[in-house]
Amino acid sequence: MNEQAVIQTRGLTKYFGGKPAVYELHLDVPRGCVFAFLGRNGSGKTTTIRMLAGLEQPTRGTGSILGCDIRALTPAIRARIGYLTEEHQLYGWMSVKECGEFQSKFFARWNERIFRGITGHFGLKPAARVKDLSRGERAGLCLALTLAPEPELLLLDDPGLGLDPVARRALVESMIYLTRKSDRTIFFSSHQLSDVERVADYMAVLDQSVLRACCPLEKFQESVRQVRLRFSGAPPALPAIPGLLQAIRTENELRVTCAQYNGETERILRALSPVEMETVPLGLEDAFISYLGERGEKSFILSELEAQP
Amino acid sequence: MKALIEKDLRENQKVAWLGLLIFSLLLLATYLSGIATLTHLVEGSGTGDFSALQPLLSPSLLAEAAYFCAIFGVALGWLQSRNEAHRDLWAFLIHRPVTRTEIFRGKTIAGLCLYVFGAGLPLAVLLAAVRWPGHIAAPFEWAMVLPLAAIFLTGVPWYFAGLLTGLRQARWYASRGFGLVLALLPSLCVFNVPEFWQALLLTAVVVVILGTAVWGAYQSGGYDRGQPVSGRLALIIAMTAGCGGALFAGAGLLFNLVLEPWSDLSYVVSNYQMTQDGSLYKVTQRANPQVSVEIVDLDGHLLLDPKTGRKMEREEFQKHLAVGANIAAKLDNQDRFLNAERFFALWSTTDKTLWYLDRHGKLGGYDARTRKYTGSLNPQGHDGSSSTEPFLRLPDYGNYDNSPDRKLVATARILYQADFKTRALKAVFSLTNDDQICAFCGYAGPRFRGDENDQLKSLFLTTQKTVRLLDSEGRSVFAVPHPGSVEYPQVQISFLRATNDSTPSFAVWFFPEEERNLKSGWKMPIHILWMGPGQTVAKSADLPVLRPSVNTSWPNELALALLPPPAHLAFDKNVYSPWNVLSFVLAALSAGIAWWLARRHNSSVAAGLGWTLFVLLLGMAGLLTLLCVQEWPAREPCPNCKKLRAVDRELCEHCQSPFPPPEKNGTEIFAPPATE
Amino acid sequence: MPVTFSIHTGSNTPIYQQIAEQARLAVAAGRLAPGDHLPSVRALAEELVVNPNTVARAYADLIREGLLEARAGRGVFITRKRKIYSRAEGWRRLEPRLDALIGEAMVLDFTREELRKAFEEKLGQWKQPKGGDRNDE
Repeated sequence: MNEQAVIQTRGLTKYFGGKPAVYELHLDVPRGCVFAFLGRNGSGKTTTIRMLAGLEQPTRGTGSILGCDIRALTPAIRARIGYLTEEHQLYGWMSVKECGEFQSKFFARWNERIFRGITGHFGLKPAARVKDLSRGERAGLCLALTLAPEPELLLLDDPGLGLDPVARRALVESMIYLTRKSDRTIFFSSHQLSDVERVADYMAVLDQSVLRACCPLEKFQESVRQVRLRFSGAPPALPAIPGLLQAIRTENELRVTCAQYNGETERILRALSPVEMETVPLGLEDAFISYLGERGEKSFILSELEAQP
Repeated sequence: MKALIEKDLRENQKVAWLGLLIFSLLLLATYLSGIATLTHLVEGSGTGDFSALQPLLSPSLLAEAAYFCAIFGVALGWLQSRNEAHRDLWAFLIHRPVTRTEIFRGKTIAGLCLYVFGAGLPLAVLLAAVRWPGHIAAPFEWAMVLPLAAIFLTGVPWYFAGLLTGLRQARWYASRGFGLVLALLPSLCVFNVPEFWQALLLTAVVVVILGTAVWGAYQSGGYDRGQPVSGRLALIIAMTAGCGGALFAGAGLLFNLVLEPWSDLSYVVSNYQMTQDGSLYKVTQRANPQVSVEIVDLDGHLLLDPKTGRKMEREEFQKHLAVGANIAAKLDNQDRFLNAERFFALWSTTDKTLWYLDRHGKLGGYDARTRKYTGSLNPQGHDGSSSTEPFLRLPDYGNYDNSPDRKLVATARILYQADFKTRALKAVFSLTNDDQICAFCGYAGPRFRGDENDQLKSLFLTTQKTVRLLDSEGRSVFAVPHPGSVEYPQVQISFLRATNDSTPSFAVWFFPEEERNLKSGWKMPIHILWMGPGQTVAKSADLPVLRPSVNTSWPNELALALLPPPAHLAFDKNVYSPWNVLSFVLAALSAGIAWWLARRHNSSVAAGLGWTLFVLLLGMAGLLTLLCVQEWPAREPCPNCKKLRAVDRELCEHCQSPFPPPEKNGTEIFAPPATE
Repeated sequence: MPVTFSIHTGSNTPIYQQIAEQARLAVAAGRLAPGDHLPSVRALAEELVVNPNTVARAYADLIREGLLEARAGRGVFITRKRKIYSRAEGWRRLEPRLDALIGEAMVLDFTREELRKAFEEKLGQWKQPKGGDRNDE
């Protein structure tokens, strides 16, 4: 497994001031996959990616990328990694063509066809200055600059941020195009779960600096389930359920969302003797929102609601 | 790397062009005002400030160049590093297949090229203008380029300091700029060190320190952690200079502004003065802080004014003072390498021709209108032909003939009167043996103060072995042996009123050389001879040298006590003086704080001891540096032993237990990659 | 190519299931016959803008069901339907849908007669899939 992991971290931790932004991260990213790194804002995704790119010194823990320690990335390794930041920052005074020329001089392997292809796909004129480009156009340029050296590993920090739907689609298409070569790996963070659903093989979820999930996409969707229990009378009190995310109580119903839904959970729920028990499948976005949303029980009993002012 | 250099050159060229423009205008303005000075000198009379005549040595030009190079250097460096101020643009720069050292090298090569362009090109053009015949009516030699070269080089430390300020990710914004204080050092020293190589050496040392600090900042992205040792060391040195300078300046300002009313600055200055009858008196001026003057005779009795019966006042006393002339032989290399005096002196401006006595002993003339060299006045050899013997480079103490067209010049053995109108030299006095002339002056004026009828014209000169007084025809009035022209370079003559044949008519004073006297413990006396009739020594006396005493105000002393103890000790040699003790106590307190901080953050003992020693040696400046530079890791309570532990270590310092894995809350979903 | 696939994100059904469903439906409706070939994994992935592994998973499921066959170097083809599922399993898949249909009709106050007539009509409209024959048992 180790030879197959292009990114590996053990206990990777980063503190800013007294607070941990990333705590004890254990991650293995296999070669050749598209890995989505998810989490709410401020959960530590950008910090993790910056540490992996060797731009931030970890407080403790180890990480390796393409076999090289992240604290000491060599130029040879950096040539094989493409890194895209969410701000798509470039030198404002350069033109599109000059950006390409500048970048190409650093890499032994530079595919001008890819560069022209992507800039053309985003509709960029060679003479346009970076400071005059829209956000989506800048994203396209950054993508072209990142993909033209044909890197083995792509680190993308929220590449779709602020992009219009057309640009976002072009981005996703580029990512899929990249998977033509089986040894190419993409590690990206995103808030666009629809894009994640299209393009990712695996996902990891960071919840307040701690890794809570790391699995194939289907496994996540299978594990997060919503069960609807109908009762003849008022629903009983909910027992302790391992992996409980949310519970919504109405007059006759109990809707329970839990992670790690398995036989044990089913048994506990059946023991409540509901009239009807139905599993409601969740889409990725709904599962994700339940997973990271507010935990606990909520009541939506009409009489109680009416009583409130 | 070439691409990086090209990029930075393009990115920052605006600053360079702007600098080129501003500097060119500045230099042009100074150059033109130098030409204006020339015109005024020639049209007016006298020899004024001649250093402006050679722009390369003009003090105002050198000062302007120093300011410009510093500001331009700092602006270039700071702006160059602020180009990548945005975190993601910095990431774009760093994330490419080159080492950080190469990035550092590329950036600094580009920046220094721009600096040479913006600051060096105008200077090169200035040099070309000076070298072109017909532009500058003053002597030129290649050593005159050294001052501007040294000043040009002082911009380089500022460039690196600017880079460092822009790069550092520091908690306090002020601490980002402390490196600038270190860059100030070469700029100041250029104007104060005697030789070029000393300025060059200091500049080179500061460039190495600041350059290494910048290189270290590139390695770690501007943070203190993650830097290589040499980078960290250089940063500490730079910050120490900055903290020390800021601390000292701030404290001095504070103390002098706030505590000034209570300061007790006072001084006592005494010197000997001789009245027309040859009597010696000691005049003491005290500022306590009111100024008061006391005149006593050599036995210590207060001199009384015969008219009022009370203490003699200075105004009345000065009416009785003897008139005199004072000359000093010039010691080698008294002038610094950027003083024009080292190279030449303006001797005369007759007939719109400027005559310079340069340091090779040549008296050359430059036409003020064409500004070209027109020829030299040479002394004549024995056979009547023009000899190449150099004139002595001695100070111009004046001629007995107050005409600006005639000046005294001397070779080693012959004293000439040079007439610049007729362009001829007339020998006035020659030495016949192997003696050498050391200094001379002419005196034309009343022999006694207030008596305009008795005018005197004489030549006073010292040689290595004698001191002589000549009349206006060059005949010797008296000659006495010189006690030693090296030990007593300064000689004074006083004209006395001889009431009868036996009272002295002249007194000759010999003043000891200060540095030698200092080394001998101030034991060398002032030697005075009274000359009686017949050129004989009537009387002689040895008087102890009177040294001023100054009490520095205590606010200044307090500010000085903030200096590191070793520096303070060198300055105030009395080990047990209260200020020394205070300096040590402050340093010890600071060291105590440093030790406490290190232990509190669970530093290793070696690091803690290192910092404590550092702060002990450097006092409060060291403590400030520690606070600026050191990034302490955060601390958390250990779940095992409950004591605070640093978060950057895998194992707890107290109980060796590792950090626990994150708490599970039951919602974890972990699955290995699906095998197909 | 007689069938156009389309997927939508954010639905309760995973994408690979959507693709497989659409393929199954196409075969059932007769729009795909045995011998027709489906686009290659890569081509379909790029057309739908999804990860090729997703398409591969859909195809793998269909292959396991016996609906699809992969021929080396030539892509995937619809096969003659071999009954992988036993009758009992088939009924198990069908029964919930019958229950849903009948239940819905009851709620909407349709009579049994109306339902039976509608059923017969629909059956007449649906063509029998080619090669799908009960006699192959």
